Amino acid sequence: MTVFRDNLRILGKTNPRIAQAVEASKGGWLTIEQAKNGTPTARLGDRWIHSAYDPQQEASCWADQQREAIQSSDTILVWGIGLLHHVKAFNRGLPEHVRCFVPVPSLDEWRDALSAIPLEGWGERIHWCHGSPEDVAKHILDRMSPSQSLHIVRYEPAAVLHREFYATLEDELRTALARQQSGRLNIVVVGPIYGGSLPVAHYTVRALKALGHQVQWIDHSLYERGYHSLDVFRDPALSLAMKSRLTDTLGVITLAHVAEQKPDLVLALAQAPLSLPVLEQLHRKKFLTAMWFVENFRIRTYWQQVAAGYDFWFVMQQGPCFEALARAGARHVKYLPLAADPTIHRPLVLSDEELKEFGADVAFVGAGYTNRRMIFPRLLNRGWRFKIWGNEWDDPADLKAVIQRQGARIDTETCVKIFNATSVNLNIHSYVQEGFDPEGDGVNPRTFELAACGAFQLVDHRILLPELFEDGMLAQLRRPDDLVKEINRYLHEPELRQTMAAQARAHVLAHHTYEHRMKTMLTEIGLHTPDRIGEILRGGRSPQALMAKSAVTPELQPLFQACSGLPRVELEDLAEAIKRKGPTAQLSREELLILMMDAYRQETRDLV
Amino acid sequence: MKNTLPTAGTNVPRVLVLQFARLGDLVQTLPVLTALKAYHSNVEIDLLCPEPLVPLAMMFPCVAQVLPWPAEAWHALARARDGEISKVLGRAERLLTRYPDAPYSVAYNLNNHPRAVLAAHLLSERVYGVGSRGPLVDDPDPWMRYLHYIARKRGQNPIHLIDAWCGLCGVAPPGHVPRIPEVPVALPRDLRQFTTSDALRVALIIGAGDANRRIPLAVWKVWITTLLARNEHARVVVLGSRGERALGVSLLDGLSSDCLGRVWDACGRIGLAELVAVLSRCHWVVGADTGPLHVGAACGARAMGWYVSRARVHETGPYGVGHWIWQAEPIEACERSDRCDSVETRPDTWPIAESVDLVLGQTCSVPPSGWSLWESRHDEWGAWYENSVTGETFRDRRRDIWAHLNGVSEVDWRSMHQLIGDRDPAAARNMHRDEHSHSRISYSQVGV
Repeated sequence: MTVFRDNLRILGKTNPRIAQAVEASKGGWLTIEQAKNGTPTARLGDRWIHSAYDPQQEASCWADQQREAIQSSDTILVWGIGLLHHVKAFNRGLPEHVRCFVPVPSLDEWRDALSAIPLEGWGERIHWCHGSPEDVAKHILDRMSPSQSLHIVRYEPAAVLHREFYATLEDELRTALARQQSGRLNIVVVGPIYGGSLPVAHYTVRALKALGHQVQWIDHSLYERGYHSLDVFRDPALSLAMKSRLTDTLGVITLAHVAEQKPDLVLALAQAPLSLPVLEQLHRKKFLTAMWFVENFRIRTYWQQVAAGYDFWFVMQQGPCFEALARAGARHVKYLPLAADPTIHRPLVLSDEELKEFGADVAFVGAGYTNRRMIFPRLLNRGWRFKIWGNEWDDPADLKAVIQRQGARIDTETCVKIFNATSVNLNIHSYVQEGFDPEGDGVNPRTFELAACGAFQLVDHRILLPELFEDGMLAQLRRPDDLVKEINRYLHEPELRQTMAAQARAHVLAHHTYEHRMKTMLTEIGLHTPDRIGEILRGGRSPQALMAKSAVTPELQPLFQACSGLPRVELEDLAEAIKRKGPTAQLSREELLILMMDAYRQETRDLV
Repeated sequence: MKNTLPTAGTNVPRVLVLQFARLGDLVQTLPVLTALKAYHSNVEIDLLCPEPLVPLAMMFPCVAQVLPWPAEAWHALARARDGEISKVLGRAERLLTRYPDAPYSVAYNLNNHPRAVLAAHLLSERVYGVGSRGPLVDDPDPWMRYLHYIARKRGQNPIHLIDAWCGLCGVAPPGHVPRIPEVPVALPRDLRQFTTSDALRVALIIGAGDANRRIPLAVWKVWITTLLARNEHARVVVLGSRGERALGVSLLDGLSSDCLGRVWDACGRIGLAELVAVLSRCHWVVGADTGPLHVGAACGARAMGWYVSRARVHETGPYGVGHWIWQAEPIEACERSDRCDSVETRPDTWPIAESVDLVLGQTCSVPPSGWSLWESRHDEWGAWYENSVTGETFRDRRRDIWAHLNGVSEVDWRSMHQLIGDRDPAAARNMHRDEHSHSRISYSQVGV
């Protein structure tokens, strides 16, 4: 009890409110025992949070590993409470000026820790914070300067006990940090050879450029004709083998681009021709890679072969998708739904001719999946103008009468005209069986695109839809049997349709554009690579920021000044500035070291 | 302006020599170290070389300390792409803390690569050799320009690379040919059997770092078979790197049963220390112009080099006395060309019987078509090679070239072109123009 009282006194000096809160808590959440070396250790049920033999030694090892990656401009957040052995050990080697925040998800757990471990001598400098994840995020961000980076260290045995709290807290921090992004990244976007993710690659590139990043798109769609020409072989196995060879070659071509470009991030879209060996090579050469998997993981399963190859996975589904990818070796998986591009997906004023061609009471744009083939016949002969656009509608039977352009593929521009010209746009997610997918979670791009066009849509229910759109923005359908009734209802309420569509459009513009998605993605990557992407995004590599931080190496200040016209300064820029000094210049030791690292950095020929 | 070379015998406690290149270059650094040791008789010489080659450098007799250059760690640091610049510099600085005697008062750099030049300037107060005028000076001294020139237009260069390095360092070639002393090393049992056998022991190097210099496996098969057929006491150990293990297996598989028990395959099985131990027990080492051939020569074995592609006997022949070199002759077009750097010589025939004759102590009066045969010699101006048929040598030109590059205040490039047998006036004019585009060089204080 003395330890707890002493700790309360220490906390009370800097944060009386939090001291009162923990005093009022009950504790008893953890089971505290004596480790073999005599120090307190703890478990929750059967799960040990610290070593049963030597918790201090364990904590020291953990802390040493974490400290290696800490930069002097970092603000540290420690995830996990337990008995605080790890916080104490981590704090021991931390430079005086580095601030360390420890969020407290459970006062009861914290009380247990404060009853066992004295804070004296180290706990005074920790910024303890308690409250909802939103409050804690605000508390931390209010106390950070823009030049500082957040560096999260996780003591997993304790952090895992409050997974949801920390996930929400990270989301809050990410959202806030996304608003502060100012630095320019050099990004290579790797697109597919063909397919549904190809337009998403276009939108992604446009969004990244609009955010001010330097983007090189490796457009493998240039090889689509050649790829499909390999169908010429009678033996399907031979065709497949040749296509696989071509895909491998495109992977090597990607490596060549990366070797030249030396990007901060290689961002691949679903179906990008990057095999595991190519990704491993990029990883060996320290390039960061991310995949935005804009496909249903249950239908397209090639992710299993490359899961372990990417540093970051962004997916349009949640729970089961996360688990499946993690089981396949993915290191970091995050939910990132699809979006719309308002420069493409927008309200249009159509000519009479266009209205005549593209207009309909009810229409659907998309491929002929099983469920759609089974649902749509019931919409025939209802007295509506009903049109189906898109490909893969072979053997359409009764639907033949409503399939437009003989089932040709519809380009994006035409698609937007159709959305604009249709009263009730059907948005039935693909499913390879009858009806609606009972596990259907991911929301397709059409949902966002229709909304961005200001077009009214009737969409089948998706598990993740409610967190993307508010009630009253989209007309949702629970069962296929309700389809006719709902169409009838909305066809007779044009004002309601207009109101809902307008709300949906405003909502997409505010929250669901590709620019939003790219900001979220980059912030997530930045949050987990605070010294790399994070630092660049915060503008930490701008000449001004470097000047401000160059107190440690004043010899470099003239170099930073020489680079003042650049948006960001990298090692090669400094090396160029040094070389510009001319052959007779006397170089400082720091300048020689920069030239040395630049000489090694230039050797990227072994990437390919 | 060139640094003034420290006066011989002055109190320079330690000097550093940098050699960042591969195995062959490292072993060819040994004579330079010997020459430097003779010049600075009372100083300790430390050698900085790539980390994987340290075990070999440790055997060099005139080196006080061998310091590893961790190229992989530098690569990793340069590729890390994260962190504040000050922190990255801190990590780089930590890599240099391995060298407690730095800064050296003097460093001799033998590599024309920015990394070696920068390392020399980071670790010493004064730099001789490549980069002596500063890390950013793209104005090589006369010896470097000479090396650049002969790399471009092979001509009839009479100066061996080792001796040119000595010139670059401002010292005379070594008065004697140094050897790597034999060091006791535990060898695998089968190789112990080879090295202790009372036989004519021959090491055969099957590979080469540069694939163009590799001798076809079929040629080696015939060579071994011929040797073993003609001398029942001959034994052969096949040497190669880990990547050449398959070649070794293939070579042995292709030999007839007559060779059974008389050929050992050591490809990829032994490290540098074991390589030295094996080669020290060999009477002959045979192979293309490659690192282990020079290690063999430095270990006391007589070398028989087969120089094809761009390998030239006068530049990189085995250093010492009594080595034989088969030189594949360049095509005539190359002789007339201003630039021969892309020309490769690939012979149609191979001097198999003739070279076996030499190993067995006989002579060769007529080399096969497309080949010339040279024997190595050594004197106060370094290595020279004598054509075994014509008696042709470039021996006397060396002194004049040294005088042109070291002994006068200004280099006369027109005379130089005549000395190295370049009859192309355009090339001479270009070299002369290049010379005038750079600052004049004072060479009155060199220590040769």
